[in-house]
Amino acid sequence: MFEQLLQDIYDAAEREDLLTVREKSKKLSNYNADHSENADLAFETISAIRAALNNPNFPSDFPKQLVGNEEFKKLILDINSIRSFVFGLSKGELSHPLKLKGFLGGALKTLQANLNHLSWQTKMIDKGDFTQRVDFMGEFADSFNDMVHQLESARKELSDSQEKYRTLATIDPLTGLYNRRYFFEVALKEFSRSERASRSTSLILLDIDFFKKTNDTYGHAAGDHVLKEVSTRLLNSLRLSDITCRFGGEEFIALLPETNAEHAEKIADRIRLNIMKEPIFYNNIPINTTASLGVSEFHGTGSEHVPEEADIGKTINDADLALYKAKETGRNKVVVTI
Amino acid sequence: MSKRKYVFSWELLGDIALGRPNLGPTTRVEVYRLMQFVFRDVLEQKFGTEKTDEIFYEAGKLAGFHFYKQMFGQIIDFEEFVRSLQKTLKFLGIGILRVEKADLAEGSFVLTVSEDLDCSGLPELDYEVCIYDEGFVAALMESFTGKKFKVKEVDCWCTGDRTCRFTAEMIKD
Repeated sequence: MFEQLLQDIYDAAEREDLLTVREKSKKLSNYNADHSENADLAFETISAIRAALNNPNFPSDFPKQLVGNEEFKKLILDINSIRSFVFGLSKGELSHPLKLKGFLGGALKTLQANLNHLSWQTKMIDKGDFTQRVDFMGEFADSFNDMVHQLESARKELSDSQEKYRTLATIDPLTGLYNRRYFFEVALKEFSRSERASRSTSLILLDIDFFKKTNDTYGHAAGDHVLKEVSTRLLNSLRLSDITCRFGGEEFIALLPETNAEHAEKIADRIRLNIMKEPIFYNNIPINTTASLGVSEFHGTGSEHVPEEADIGKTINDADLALYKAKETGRNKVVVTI
Repeated sequence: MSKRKYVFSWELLGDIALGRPNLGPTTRVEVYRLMQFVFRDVLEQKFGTEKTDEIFYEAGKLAGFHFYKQMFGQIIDFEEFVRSLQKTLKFLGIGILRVEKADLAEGSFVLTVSEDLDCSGLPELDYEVCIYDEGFVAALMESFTGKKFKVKEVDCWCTGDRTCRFTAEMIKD
């Protein structure tokens, strides 16, 4: 329009058509005046949008030419909505609603959804779910996933280490049987159960006969082999519910829950026979091995009394006396404490 | 209704390996959408918009029940169910499921599905289109918890939200 008017004035001047020159010049002047007004309005609009975006406080009034404009109103509402949402997000509010639709609204909602999902994933990791991985948020995701992986490794190492120490604390390394410490732990529970229920728990104390002679004759490695083989035969002679421990040196103890002395004696004799029935071979050398066994019984009274180590000690002592008697009267036999 | 002809069962999906030795088990998303959107068109012409939406929700539910039974019937732990669901939906190209909120005790959930099979990439409309998905999600939640759920799509790609967001609320007695 502007260029056309200029061209018309130029052409009219060439023709010396002053009437047309005057008419077109007037139009040009009006055009400039109109567009100057539009330019002012555009400037005011841009300033208002800039203020709505950037001012710390959202502007409360806008130029009067814009107030009645519906599109402008919608735009200002959208900007206000984005401001509240983004400000909330910057303070860590992840549930702030956003009514805005479209590309910008969609992108912001995607970010919000991802952050909310990340919060949920973190809660899951806290509960021990180390399979969670972040597959969005670029470089952060890589670092986060590395961290989860390391947490998982650390947790596994700790768990393995706890298991290792638990094993060391409860298992005899040579024979693989439970150790003396663990025996007392279990015995306290079993004796308490027997006491409450007026039931019997029996102990079998076993000592390998002439073990020193085995060590002296065949060497300590052979002695260790005999200890391992006796452990296996002992274990194979007992029930799954029985607890078998290496008590020290060549001495073993078995705790038999829900078993009276009469029954325990039969089991003890089965152990004795299993140990003596075949020689133990070490480097193809047969080592004839026998064991002496003492049996004792703890019988509960139905009281609420919680047995202590001293109560267990007394029952062990009874078994020890019986074992001593078995040794004194010829070895390779079972004696029950009366 | 007299004896029915089209009762759904998983077996109706057929032995795809046998039937499509060369083309395999996948097809283009456009083909899936073509069928879904023409169904929607014809159903709306015959029964109206409201009834069409109801049919889509119910169809989604029926699919969800069978899908759950087929894929997740043995899972009893909720977190494991979510993990398995995420993996399965991604593997099958249905969508990328993310959990925004999961309160099992209250029966209140907010889930998002990105790159949704039904709607991602569709032109912008002024309504949510994932009604089938609503029914599908409701059936998954109901199957796992044994409680009734109402699922609503609150944001959708089609309304310019880029990701589909669903609320799932347990219907309390």
